Amino acid sequence: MATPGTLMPIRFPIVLLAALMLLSGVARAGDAPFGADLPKPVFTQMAQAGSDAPFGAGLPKPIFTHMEQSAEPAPAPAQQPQQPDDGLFFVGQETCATCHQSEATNWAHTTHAKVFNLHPRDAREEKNCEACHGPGSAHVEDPSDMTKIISFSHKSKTPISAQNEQCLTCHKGGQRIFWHDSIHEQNKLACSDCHNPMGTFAAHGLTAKDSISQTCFGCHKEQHAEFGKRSHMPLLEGKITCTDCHNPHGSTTPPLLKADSINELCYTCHADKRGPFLFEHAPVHENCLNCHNPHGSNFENLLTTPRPVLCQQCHSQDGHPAQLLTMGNLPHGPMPDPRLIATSCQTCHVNIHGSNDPSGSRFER
Amino acid sequence: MRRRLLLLAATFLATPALADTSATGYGGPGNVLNPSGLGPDRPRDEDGLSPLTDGTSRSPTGLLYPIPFRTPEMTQSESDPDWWSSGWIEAGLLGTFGQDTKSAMLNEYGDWRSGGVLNFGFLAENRVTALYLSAQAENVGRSDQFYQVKIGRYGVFDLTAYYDSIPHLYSTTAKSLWDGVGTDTLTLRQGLTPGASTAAQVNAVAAAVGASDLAVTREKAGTSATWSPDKNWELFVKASNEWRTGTQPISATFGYPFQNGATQIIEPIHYQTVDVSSGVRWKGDNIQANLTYSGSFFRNGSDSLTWQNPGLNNNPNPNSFIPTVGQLSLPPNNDYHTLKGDFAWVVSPDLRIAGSLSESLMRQNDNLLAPTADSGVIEGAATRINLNQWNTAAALVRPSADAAIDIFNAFAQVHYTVSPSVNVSFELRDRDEKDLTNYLAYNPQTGQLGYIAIDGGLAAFNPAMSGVYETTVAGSNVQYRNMPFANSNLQMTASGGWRIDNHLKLDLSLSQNEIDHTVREVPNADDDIAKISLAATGYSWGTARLSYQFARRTGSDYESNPYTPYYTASLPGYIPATPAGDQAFALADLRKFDVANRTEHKVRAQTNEILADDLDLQVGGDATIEDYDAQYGLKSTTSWDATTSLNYQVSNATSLTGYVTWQTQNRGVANINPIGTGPNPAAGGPVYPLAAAWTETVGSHDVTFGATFRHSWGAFQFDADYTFTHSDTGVNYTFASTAAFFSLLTPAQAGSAFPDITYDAHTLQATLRWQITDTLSTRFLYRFDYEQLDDFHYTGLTAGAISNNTYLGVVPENFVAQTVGMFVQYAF
Repeated sequence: MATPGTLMPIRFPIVLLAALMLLSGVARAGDAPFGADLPKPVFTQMAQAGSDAPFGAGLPKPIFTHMEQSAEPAPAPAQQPQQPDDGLFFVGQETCATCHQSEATNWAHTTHAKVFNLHPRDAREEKNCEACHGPGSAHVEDPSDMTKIISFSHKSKTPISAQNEQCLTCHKGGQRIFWHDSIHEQNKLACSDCHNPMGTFAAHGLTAKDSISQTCFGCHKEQHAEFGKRSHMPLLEGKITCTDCHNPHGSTTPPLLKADSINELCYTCHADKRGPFLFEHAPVHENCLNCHNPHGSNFENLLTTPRPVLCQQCHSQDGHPAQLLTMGNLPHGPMPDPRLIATSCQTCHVNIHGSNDPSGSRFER
Repeated sequence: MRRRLLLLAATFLATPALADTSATGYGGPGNVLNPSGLGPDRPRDEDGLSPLTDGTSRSPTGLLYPIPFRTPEMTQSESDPDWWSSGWIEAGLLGTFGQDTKSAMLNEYGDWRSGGVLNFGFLAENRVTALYLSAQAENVGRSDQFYQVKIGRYGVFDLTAYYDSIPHLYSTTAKSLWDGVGTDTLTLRQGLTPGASTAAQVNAVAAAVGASDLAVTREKAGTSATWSPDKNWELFVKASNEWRTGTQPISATFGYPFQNGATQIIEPIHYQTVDVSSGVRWKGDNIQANLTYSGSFFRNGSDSLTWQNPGLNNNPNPNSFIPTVGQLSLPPNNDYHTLKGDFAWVVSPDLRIAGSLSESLMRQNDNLLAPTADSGVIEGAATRINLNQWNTAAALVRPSADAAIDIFNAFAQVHYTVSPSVNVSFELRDRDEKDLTNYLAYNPQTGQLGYIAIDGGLAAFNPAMSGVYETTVAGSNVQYRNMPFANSNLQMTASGGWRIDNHLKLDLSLSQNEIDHTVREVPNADDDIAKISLAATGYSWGTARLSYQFARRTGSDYESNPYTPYYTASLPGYIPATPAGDQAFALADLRKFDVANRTEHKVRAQTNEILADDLDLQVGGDATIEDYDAQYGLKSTTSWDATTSLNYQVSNATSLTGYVTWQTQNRGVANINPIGTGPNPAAGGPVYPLAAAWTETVGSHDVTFGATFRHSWGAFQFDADYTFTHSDTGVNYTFASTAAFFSLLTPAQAGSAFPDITYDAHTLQATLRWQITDTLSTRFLYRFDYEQLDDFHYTGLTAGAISNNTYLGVVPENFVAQTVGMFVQYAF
């Protein structure tokens, strides 16, 4: 069993490695990307339709790569963009809209359309439809062959990993920096499982359903039910969303939290519980979820189990914590007991999350 | 409110032009009338996503996409043709009817009051410069209102300012025995005497005083700005200011149960939290990095609550000390800083490295309260406590808390693609926490270690628990130092993914988590986790996902009392309670579940079946079983849930969805009442005899049913949504003998179970929308709400005295209510 001292030799190289990577990342921010000396590949067609291969792993050439043939930055939007050299070519948004008029109309109101149409930042964004769907010439020739266009729905012949890489071409980094190997990515979730940028479905985030929370509930039904329980945070009332606590695009924690720990996350809204206090309560300090279920509970204050059972799971000290409380201790019973009635143990131990009172070691003050 | 809006305007104007789309703690806006926050209210587009697809459209996993909303067209400005705009204003009336319209449960997080409703918004954009301006306001003047303003340039910068109000109504039935509610000083109403009131007097005052609301309103105003000078760089800054004002119920005691009584009082809430965050993001082709600073500063306008004690007690000795006033510390001001850097590097097509480093500082240095607010002298058989030497700051060893916690986090991940179908990854996650708080409870005036427990209320009944260390008294075991709890983790994970074919993917992972606890029953623990998951996607029939996780936590030898170093029993010259030693601290055979050994199984399965082009069936569920390898304490928990849902998109104009979720949760607890004396902590010993053992089980069953229906025809659109929730929790117990509880109760009086905690809720909402003209529309709303909660903690509870304790009368407020509304919207 490791003792605290033995962890230090392991921690130091980890920290050093992470620090070196971080610093080198900042230092290299101005460098040309990896492979700058190699010819920049252009738009090509997937050699094997339907292959769900990992990104770039010696597979059929990805359909989307950089447009440039050299290490030069992308040409300014005013310049004539280059066409791919594998027989495919861009047909232009007008051609797309000839058949996809409804899609073009829906899309025109979205954020992507506004950026691409009004302020494209590179030649790719100038392409509008084809910025995401790839060169459309083959699709125009044979619209029924789904292998000839990048698409993002269930009928798509584009592997999910390739679909996601399309989105990540622009949306890499930032809040999606830990997307790869996240639980959603491991479960082969596509960006377009949660997002649909082709129309207005929601107020925020170009989500596929009416709201962020409804989108998450598409798969996470249990949590939908829990938010409807007797004790819940105001998610169904529209005041918070799933993404107030979770980053569905990946994070440093397995449950995709937006902070490095559960407690630090809870403290972003519940700063009054943050302390530090003179007298901390060990299970509170350990993990808020020792006592609370954040999605919803049948018991007040999102507790995992009713009091006093909650406290008696741990407490057996001399005095009163381990006395069984019964029916006879209810308000109209023969021995009404404040340890059971109303807030139960917290009737007396009120500062249960920690006390800053010099007389608060038992959280009564 | 006016101050908030002025502050919102000030922050909006002062902040440079940046915007961030990743706010934490503000996922809205929205409210009960518009949970999604989408404005304006608008019909669905009956043309659907595309007339070219033969029917519906689905996501890659196979879930049906809904029909998108129709977006209002924008109008070109005549004076400046580069500008286009659209806007809307909606006004209406809301009426909520029923006998329980003021219920705290109905209005817990929303404003259902009858009255006017006003919403408006607009969007303007310059189609040459890409500048835009938008604004939205919902439920103007209501307690759940929100506002948002955005200015920006598409693809370049975004500046957002917002204000959001969240009501939280706790009770409408509170009857306070005290004047001064909402302040930090509560004085007993006329008819009550501090320290000397009777139960009859308390009940008379409670009967005479009117009920009042206890509620907190959370108002948050903030601004965020993001600037992307090019496609690789992004800079952002955010700031928000949140106020929580109001009152909420709280309790505090003046002694042990059945000695000096407990009092339910009212806490003033004057919280303010200022959050700031700023950072830079680099989004290169192969290298991405984030660097972010976040700060959070909590301020409480009330650092303490002082209240007069009615004085109900069961003290047989008429000369014993009864505190006349109590003082409670409220949440202290605190500061939190985090500096975090994230990094990702695509070294090659086969190799990816990612990592994160962060350092967080938590600081709190409020001035400390005196150990008591009371005065007088407590005379005991062998002790004498002069509270006048403990009720000023001179009784403190230092004037302020000087509390600090530092947290370091490091995360590193390496992903390697071994072959086209196999990849492996390794993760290291290191968390190191240090609790730097070091407090000594010492009174320089008396030269004594300790404090005053419950304002002196314990001393008269239990001198050894007075809080003051009496060096000449046997068994004066007092906690005289703070316990610097800290947790550190080092988790190593190896995982692999195998793409079996185009549809099937198998993932395996093994993880070891080394956990160190400072000052806990288990100093070191290992949590070993193995997980296997299978994803089957892209089939014509749909998608399925299955996972199983096994976790086993083991640790160093369990020490039932690691806290001795923080008690006076560890000091030289301490006199134990008996020659054999002090009273056993805790049951040695009890295991605290958060640190003790544990075996866990988790299974999760989900499938989405495409039954037809327009029909989805989703079936899923999960089960979790936890065994704590404990004779006493939490022994085990099991939970499972199953959901079935149907999604039927009949046409672009009509859709129907329904779902049912079942959940069951059970846990078993055991303990022993310490009825004996002596130092032996073992189960079956003299202190914890098996005759005083008991068990308790908590079993919950929940059912949730929901259905939605939508139909459009011509200028009309009808939406209906119904949700039903039922839960039933049984709490059952067994006991070896009446020694398990206060033996004044007979077994018949004790019974074997509490009344079930049950909760039933029905919500039905229907909306009929009529697009009268291109610019004018109206909608009619009907809503039925029903909630019934029966919780034995509150059954029979009324305001006033129950035994020697006083209560506010805060109880669940069941309701039946109906709401109707009519709204007219003009779009321009």
